[in-house]
Amino acid sequence: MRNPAENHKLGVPAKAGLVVLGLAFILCIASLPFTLGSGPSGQPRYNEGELADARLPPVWAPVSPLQAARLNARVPEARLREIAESHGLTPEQASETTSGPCAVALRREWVRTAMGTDAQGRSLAVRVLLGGAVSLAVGVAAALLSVVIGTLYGALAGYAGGWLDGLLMRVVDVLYGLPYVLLVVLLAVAGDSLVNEWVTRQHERASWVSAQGNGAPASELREEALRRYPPRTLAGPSRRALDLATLLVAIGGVSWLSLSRVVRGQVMSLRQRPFVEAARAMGASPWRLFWRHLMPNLLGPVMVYATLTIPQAMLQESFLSFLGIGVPPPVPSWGSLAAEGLGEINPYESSWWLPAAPGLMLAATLLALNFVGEALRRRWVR
Amino acid sequence: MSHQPASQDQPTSPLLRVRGLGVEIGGRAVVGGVSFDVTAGRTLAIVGESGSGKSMAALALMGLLPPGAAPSGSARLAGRPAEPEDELIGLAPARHRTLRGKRLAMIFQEPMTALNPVMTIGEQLGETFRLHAGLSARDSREAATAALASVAVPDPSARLDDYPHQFSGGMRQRVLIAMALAGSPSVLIADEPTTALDASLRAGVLELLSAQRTSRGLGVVLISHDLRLVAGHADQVLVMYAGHPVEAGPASAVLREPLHPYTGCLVGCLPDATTRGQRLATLTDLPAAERVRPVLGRTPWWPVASGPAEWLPVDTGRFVSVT
Repeated sequence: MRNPAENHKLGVPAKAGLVVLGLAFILCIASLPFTLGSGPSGQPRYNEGELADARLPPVWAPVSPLQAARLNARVPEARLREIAESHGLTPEQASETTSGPCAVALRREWVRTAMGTDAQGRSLAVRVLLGGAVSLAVGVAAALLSVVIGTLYGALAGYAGGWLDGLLMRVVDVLYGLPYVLLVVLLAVAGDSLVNEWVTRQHERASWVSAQGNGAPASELREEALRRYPPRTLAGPSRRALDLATLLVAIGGVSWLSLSRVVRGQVMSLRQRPFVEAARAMGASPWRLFWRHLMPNLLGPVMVYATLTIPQAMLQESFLSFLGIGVPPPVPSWGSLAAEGLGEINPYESSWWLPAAPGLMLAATLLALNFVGEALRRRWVR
Repeated sequence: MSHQPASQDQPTSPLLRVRGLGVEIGGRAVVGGVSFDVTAGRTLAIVGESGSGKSMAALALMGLLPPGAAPSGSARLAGRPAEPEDELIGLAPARHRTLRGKRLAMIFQEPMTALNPVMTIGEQLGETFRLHAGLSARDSREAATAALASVAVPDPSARLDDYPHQFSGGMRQRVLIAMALAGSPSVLIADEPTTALDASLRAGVLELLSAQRTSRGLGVVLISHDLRLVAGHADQVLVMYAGHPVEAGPASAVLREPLHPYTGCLVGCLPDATTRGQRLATLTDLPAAERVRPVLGRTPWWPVASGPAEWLPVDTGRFVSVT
């Protein structure tokens, strides 16, 4: 038997994971007012940038002579001459320099951001921060959704037993059998078309027209239908919110399958425990048994699987964003940032920081979540 | 089969009158012909080895039989002044649930697992009070403190906030007794309440049950496989074998002079200070039916044997099943 005290200690990976997670959450969420706030040009900061500032490397990154020449050329000529003179160089020499005090002085002139800029000159640091908030929110919300569905579904199956259990679990088996990307895409597309129908009201008009019979000319009927059912308008932000909600439902809707199986098994074994029979002998109703006696005992395993579902959901979100059906642009997420950045890798002049920053953040967060989830699992699931 | 009341000499009308109780699982009768009366302030012990159908009979009364098990026969639970008499066999599940805990309660064998590990003792006790007495949260806490004190748990108000794992086995069984009594039931079924406990704790728990029985006027059904242990705490004994009763009567008489060979074996299989150096009886040592015949004048009936059984009245309130 293991020493119980050992189970209560968190290992180094779990502690490091907690620190990373805490930092990621605090940084990304505390910076939301800044990243979403409007910058000097009136655009929100995450979407603000000039093409002239495109693909600036991070402050600390070494640059090639080619890049140096392009970037140093951004310094106004008067200022360039001034700096060149103070370092005893000609302006031509100064604009080609990649290292040394002159290069540092020049760099101070063109560097704007700590993490460089993307292809549209937007600050990568700001976008990574907001992308983190979006990714974490999508991950947590989708995990919550899958926990709610999975727990209730699995608990119902395990508690009811018999043919209902069989039916519910066969549905899960079928859903398991389908490739999840297909499911997510189908759900996302279905959600999108529902929103589209709500906006354009094509179906309502068509059914109205067909209900009118053949009395009036078709064109008049169509006009009348358009008057009765005018298309609705959906503002940009609410449209994006709806797209996000669809994404959430799509990811949450497919990631509850394993949780429901785990919960079903737990409920089936809990049902046999004497304390449930004792509670029944006390006259507890099935409802009370379920919520007061079964649910609290499920909390441990459910929490563990929830922590393991968050990275899964984040990864799925990133993957879908990577495929272009995830978070709608220009709102960034770590997945879409990485996808964008990957397009900037080429043999001529690579902006390697564009995929690296969101990729590293994503990797660190996922690892941290997995370490924490694993530690919780060891402690609670026996 | 002809069944007569197991005990007729009770002055008051019984709280629970069971007649011909049987349980069938998948067409096979696992319990049959169980009849007994439970009277206020008295203990009836049902004794038999594992698998003899004692617990099944108890679960049938509680309406907690596993799915697929069908009860038969009759069990009438006397009502209180304002309440009607209830026939427990075939009672609607919803009605049965309202009776459980309130008029008919049960305590189980395993005190270690019969308490919910994630709820404090106070929450679980208080829940029962809220459920049955409709008390508020604060009143139910006070009631829970009083209930813990009544089952002799030291420092009850402080221990309310403890979790089951912080209680010892004997203390947990006391908590379970307090929980079972929280709805002030008239009949308490104790299914092997001492089996999982240390020998040193058994007498204490049984004494506690006896004390509660006399002070509350409870009718107690004590289920056990240990005839000697329960005999001292029971007024009546019903001995069961293979799902059927084989002998019934006053506890002292049955213990002193067992008539059915199986009862004799139950009495003889326990170590005794007076029978030093002798081998203890086992089921294979059962005296042949012929040896008992002169005493009874009839052959004792074995449930495994085919053919009808008959209750042979031997003495006042004393019966044995014969062929």
